Amino acid sequence: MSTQTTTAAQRPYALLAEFDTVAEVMHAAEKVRDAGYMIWDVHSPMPIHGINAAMGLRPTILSWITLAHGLAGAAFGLLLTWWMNATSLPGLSSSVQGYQFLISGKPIYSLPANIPIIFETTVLFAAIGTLLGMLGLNKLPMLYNPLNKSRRFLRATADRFFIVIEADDKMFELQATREFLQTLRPTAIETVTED
Amino acid sequence: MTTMTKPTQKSAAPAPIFLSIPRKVILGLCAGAVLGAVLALLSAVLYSGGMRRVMLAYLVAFAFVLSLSLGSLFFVLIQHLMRASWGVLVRRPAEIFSLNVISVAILFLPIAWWVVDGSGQLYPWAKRDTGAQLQHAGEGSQLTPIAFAQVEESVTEANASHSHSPEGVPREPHTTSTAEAPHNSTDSLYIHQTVDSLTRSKQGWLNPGAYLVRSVVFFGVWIGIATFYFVRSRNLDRVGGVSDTRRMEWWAGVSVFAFGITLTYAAFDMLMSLDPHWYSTIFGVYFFAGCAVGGFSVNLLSILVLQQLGILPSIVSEEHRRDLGRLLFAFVFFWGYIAFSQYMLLWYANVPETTRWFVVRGASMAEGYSNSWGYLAVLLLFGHFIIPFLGIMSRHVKSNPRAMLFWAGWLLLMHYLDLVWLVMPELSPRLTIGLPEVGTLLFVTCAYLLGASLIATRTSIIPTGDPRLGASLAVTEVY
Repeated sequence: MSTQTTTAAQRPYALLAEFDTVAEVMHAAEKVRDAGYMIWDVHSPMPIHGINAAMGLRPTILSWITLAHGLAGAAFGLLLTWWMNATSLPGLSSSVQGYQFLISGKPIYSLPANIPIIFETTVLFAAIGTLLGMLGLNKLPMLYNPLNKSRRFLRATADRFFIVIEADDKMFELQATREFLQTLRPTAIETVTED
Repeated sequence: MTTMTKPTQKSAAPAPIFLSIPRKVILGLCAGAVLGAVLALLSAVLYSGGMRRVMLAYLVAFAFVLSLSLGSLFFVLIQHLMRASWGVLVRRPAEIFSLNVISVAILFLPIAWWVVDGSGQLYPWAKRDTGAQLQHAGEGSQLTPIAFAQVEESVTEANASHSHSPEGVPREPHTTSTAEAPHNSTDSLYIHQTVDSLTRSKQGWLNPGAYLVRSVVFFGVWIGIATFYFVRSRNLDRVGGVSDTRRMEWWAGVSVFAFGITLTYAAFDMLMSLDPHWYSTIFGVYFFAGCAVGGFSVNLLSILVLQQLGILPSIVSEEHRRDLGRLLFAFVFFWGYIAFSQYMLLWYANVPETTRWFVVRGASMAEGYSNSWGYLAVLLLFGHFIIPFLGIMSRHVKSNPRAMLFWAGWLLLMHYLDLVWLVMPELSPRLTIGLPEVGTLLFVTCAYLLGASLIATRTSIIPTGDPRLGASLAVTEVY
């Protein structure tokens, strides 16, 4: 946020609810899900099996990103090998024409010889696309997160479980959401401000 | 990703489930085997190629059921090698099929006979040499490996060596009439079927005695490993504890070595040596890839069928079935990768005695060398690789029992056709699949399934005593 610090300091970033056990945070997550919140998260020191369903998470779209990049890589590899081996377009400068070498009697452009290249570019593009897609979907790299200011939240890496509902959520209203979180019986609730 | 939760027994251990295979099914299998045998023997009289075609078709069917057992054995071994817990619930069918390698060993007996009888009808190198023939064949093939560029020159010699071979190496009677394949060039592709100097130079390895000794070793190793894992796993059902699991895990590493080496050399002996001139170092891996596809298909198929019949309870969940589907998916691609690797290197090098293997299998676009096996090669490219690869890719397909029922069956069929493509072109350049193939397949698979039924009736299809059963029951997925 590039707004003035005086106003930003007051603006709530999120509400934080702390829980003691896995079971409590699971049941609380189900209620947050059923209440219709969209921009929220559960923080836990270890993976919790079944939390996806409890949070109502849909399967990731990352696999489609990977597929699209893989197909793009295959197309790129095909074009690359064809262009470099077999182009002979009239009127094109010789510096961008293909090198038409006849190798052991094979056709100038023969697919089997180029499958490994196409395979590698497919894998390369798919891998890079998956990495970048994962970073993008997670909004990484994120150098600063207001949650880090909360001393209580440090225990998310040790022995506490947290539900964080962000202020960007359409249903978020500081007072109403705080009251809603109270009904989940957390051990503590904290308002985290921006900046 | 599938992970395991801590093995907190979330429910009581499930009760053992024993299959009671109906009498009708057993009788049906017996009838199928008899019918298949009759059809195969009948076709030996009726069809061109005669007994040699039946022998080759029998070899295809034999390799098919062998690969199912070996693929299952591989599944059992990697489960223990990796100390996997997810697969405990679905491991029993694989154990049953891998122990069924005993039936496969019995089905091997006719092949053993065809190797020692000296006719060389199944394997050209197994023909008993008589001095005169040896000399002539040697002369005739002095210029082997036949360079395709020199085919025209070598044709006379090739024909000469043919006409002198006693009782005639069965030459395909139809080649003369095919328009697209000139008689001479196609015919000379099959002259390796006489024992020539190149084949003789390999007879230190490829001779009936050595072949039989090696086969005994192969089957000994396979039956030994399969029996060990089957007996230990059954013992767990009775006594529980962890000592059997520890022993199985300890032996898994050694066994997987022995498995890999025996499988590779068995593929060389039983399939690759059909063309004694040809060699491909990756051939063992190629056969292994087929084994994995076939074995995983048949295990997935039995899990799905048992569940559809209501015999296997829903504790075998979507997660287990999806993981089996993933393994199958991975090995579909692995097969394609290996098949292409083998093709590309031989295609690129273009060495005559190795390209011949692809030429008779129709994978050549050179003028005068195309033949109808090429249709099967293209079918395999799409049907065994590209279409199932795209078809099983989605996780929604992998979790759908009906869809996977189809794909497992489809891949089994493709795996059989792959073996047909490996073996049958040695008979003739014309694609024919008919009564001999169907008859032998019917006989061999029915006999194989009879063996599997015998083992299955005395065994719970869930390993109730395995210490990792709880973890396997609790498998969930994180995405």
